Amino acid sequence: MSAMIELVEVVKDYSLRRRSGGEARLRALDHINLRIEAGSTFGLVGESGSGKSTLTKVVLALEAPTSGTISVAGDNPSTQSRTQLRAWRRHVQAIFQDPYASLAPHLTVEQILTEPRRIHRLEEHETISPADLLSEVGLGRAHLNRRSRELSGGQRQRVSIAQALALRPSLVVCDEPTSALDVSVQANVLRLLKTLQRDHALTYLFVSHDLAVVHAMADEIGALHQGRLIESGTADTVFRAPSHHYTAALLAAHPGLTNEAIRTSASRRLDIALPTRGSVGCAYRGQCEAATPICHTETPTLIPATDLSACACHHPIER
Amino acid sequence: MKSDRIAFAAGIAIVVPFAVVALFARWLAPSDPNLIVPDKKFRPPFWSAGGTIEHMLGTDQLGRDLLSRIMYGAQTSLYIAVGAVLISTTIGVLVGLVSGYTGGWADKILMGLTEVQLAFPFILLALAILSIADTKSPPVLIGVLSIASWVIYARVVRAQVLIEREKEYILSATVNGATRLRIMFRYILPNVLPLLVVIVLLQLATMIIIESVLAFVALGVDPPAISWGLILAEGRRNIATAWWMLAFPGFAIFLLVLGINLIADARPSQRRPTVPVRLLDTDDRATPHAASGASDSNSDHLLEVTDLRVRFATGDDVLNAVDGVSFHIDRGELVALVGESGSGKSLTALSIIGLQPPAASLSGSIQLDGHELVRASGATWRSIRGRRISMIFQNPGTSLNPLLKIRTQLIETLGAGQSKESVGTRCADALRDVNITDVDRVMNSYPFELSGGMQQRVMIAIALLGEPELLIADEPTTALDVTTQAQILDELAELARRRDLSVLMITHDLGIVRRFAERTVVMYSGRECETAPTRQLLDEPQHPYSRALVETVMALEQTPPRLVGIDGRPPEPIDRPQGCAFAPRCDRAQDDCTTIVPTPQTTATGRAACLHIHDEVVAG
Repeated sequence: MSAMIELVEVVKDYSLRRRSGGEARLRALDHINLRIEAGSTFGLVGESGSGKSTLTKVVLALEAPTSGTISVAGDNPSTQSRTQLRAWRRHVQAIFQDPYASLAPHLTVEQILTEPRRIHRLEEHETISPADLLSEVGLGRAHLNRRSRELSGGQRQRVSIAQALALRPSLVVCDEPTSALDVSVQANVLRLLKTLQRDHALTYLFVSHDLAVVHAMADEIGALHQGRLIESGTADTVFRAPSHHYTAALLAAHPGLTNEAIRTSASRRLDIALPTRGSVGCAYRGQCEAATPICHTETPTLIPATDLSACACHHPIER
Repeated sequence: MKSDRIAFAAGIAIVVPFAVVALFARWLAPSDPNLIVPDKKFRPPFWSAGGTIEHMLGTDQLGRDLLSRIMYGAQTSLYIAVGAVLISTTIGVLVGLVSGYTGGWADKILMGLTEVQLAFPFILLALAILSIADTKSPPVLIGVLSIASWVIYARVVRAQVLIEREKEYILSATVNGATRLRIMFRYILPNVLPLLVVIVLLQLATMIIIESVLAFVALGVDPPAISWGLILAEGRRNIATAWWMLAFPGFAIFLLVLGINLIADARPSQRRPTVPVRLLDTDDRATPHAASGASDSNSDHLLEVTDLRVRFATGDDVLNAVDGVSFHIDRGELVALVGESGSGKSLTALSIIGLQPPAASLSGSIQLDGHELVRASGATWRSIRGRRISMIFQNPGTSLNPLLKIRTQLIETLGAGQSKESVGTRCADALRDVNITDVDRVMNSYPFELSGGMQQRVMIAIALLGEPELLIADEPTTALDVTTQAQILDELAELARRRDLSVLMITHDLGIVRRFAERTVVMYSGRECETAPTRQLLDEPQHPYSRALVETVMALEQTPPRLVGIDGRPPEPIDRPQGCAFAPRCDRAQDDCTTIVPTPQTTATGRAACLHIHDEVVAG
């Protein structure tokens, strides 16, 4: 198999201006190593501030990494010229969270679906017609002349998907694609994404805070915590037997219908100050029950924990 | 609104004739505006002694026809105003777009420039330039006014661009590979325009006035050009002998500016929500409804909601956003109100605390401890809110005042009339109660310095300061991370147990229901669908909708997960189908489901509103 995305030691720092003057650095991504196979779905989980959105922005070349190398769809977008980058964007698309904000409000569905072709100055016969795109995502011709405000949330998200697929990309970054949708509508949109993946050999980088959704969609998953990739592996392994204490806490806290409602002893104390990001040691040590002195002095690296997963922890959970 | 439409029509009725006169002055004016007839000077308007019909509005100090001069003046004044607005808009929009979208150095330079110019009063700048200008022809005036006023557009456009730039459709266009130029002109500009129209209109009015002001101080257009300002200035010099020379041009300016402002004011209403709403008389009940299910008022219940309906009048129609909901909450009970978007769950919650939108009309009954709240007065609500019923919302970050320290917000909630010490202790206790250990630090923090979880705890502390009996929590953990969410839910449940507090949890998430609530009310499209103890509801849902919902979530959690959805989507209350609202999506629907609205029936676990609920039991 070939890699659709390959990140090697990727670091992304943001500089923040302090009120007192001077600059502070926020390490949004802390030496990320990641490989996503073509045709697979990689699920990314983590809480707010974990670096999920920064990672998607780096993959989409909306942000350049501070250091490290990236390869997405066969190219390194940070070394490309503007023209090359625009051509590269044909292959790398995205679906965003908020279907109420992700469609241009003044354009009709037909115009929205024609935009990719016009942007890349392609002839009509070289691309898929708006009507065909709509039927692919389960909408009819009647929707062509509507504007986004006349559509429901689920329909809008289907239009977003159709737009992302207009130029037959090889990678689609799905950033919380169903979290704004009703539960009863969500499954149908997810099923659509799966069907489209099968039909067009798409690779998905799938980001969601809903662990059940990630489990349903992903072949492999990665858990981010404080900018570090702390666990990765096949979805089933990580969900059934997480090795990292943070992943375990995350799974325990998920408000499902079938999991044992573990009372919050396993989840973190909110008022504990986190260590400075990017500093030495495990970032989870403050909330971790298994923490020992080594967790303060040495940053754990991602090493194989089972045959099918890897974990960055000095004291991984033994199964 | 109707009044807006009238204002808009009145504005058009004023402005259009002026525009016509300005455009066709040459043909419409009764005589040459510059024709000097010395022996006809200072003729009054036709109705005064000495006036003639030939010079309807009289003549000026040189015997020129005033009406003709005003008509030609309209041409020049509007030419200058429209010209100046067009040029300044073009410059301002371009500068605002570029500086807002590209940011960085371009933004800094352009905004620095505008700030310098803003610090220098608009009119002073115009005066300064004009006083050194050789000629003051209309194009010169247009230029001067444009230079002096483009800044306004640049600022407004830039501010709006900064808002639009962050929206996901712009991100989406970037990902598609759109060029910066395309993003600016194809995506951002059209969405900035509606706002611009209002400013353009208001500026047009301002320009007309400024032109007169400049002429008044002898810096207007040079004769022989005629502008309203010039006529006005001449009128002022002859005010003692010929009042009409000042009055008529003054009135023309007043009328045109009024007309433009009327149009500008009425414009924004076209962007308001699609459904126009008229206030319903609270007593005008649509149709009498049979009381459904067990409705005998039971004094054990803290809160008793019976057949609650929340209606909005839209044009000729009535929109039943909440269409018959009945449930009760006992003291110390944790009840969840579950539903998807458009189910009316939030509106139900808001009605219980009297915060429904002003245009909503309520019927049915909401009783707190036997006291009817549906038509309670403002004074009654003030004595109830915060003291007997409190509410927390989804986004603690926007529910807290960003400018005040937590300490101040707590003290303000407590109100006056207590000693400083007791206030301090009560605030500290309130924070400790919601598991905040670091009380001093939190008290001295501003909201933005706290995490989302801490903010929501502070909100809960504030909501509980008045020791209410019922807390309404509207999606209180939706904006929080899962680990934080679990913790807040557990803490809230624990707090409720300790204080014998009842909680009404509004949520769309069955996982939260399971973790938190003892009893659950499921709503669908504004109606009560099923009510049962949470455990039973999730284990053996009776209503086809609850069953499908539970199945959807359960399937996702299986190994391997399955994706099971409900076909179709929840109807908007405005086009709710006849009969059972769920019928079009229901796999058990029969003919009568599309005609009869089901009322809740007693089931094995609670009650459910389905015509065929008992058929199922027999068949199943």
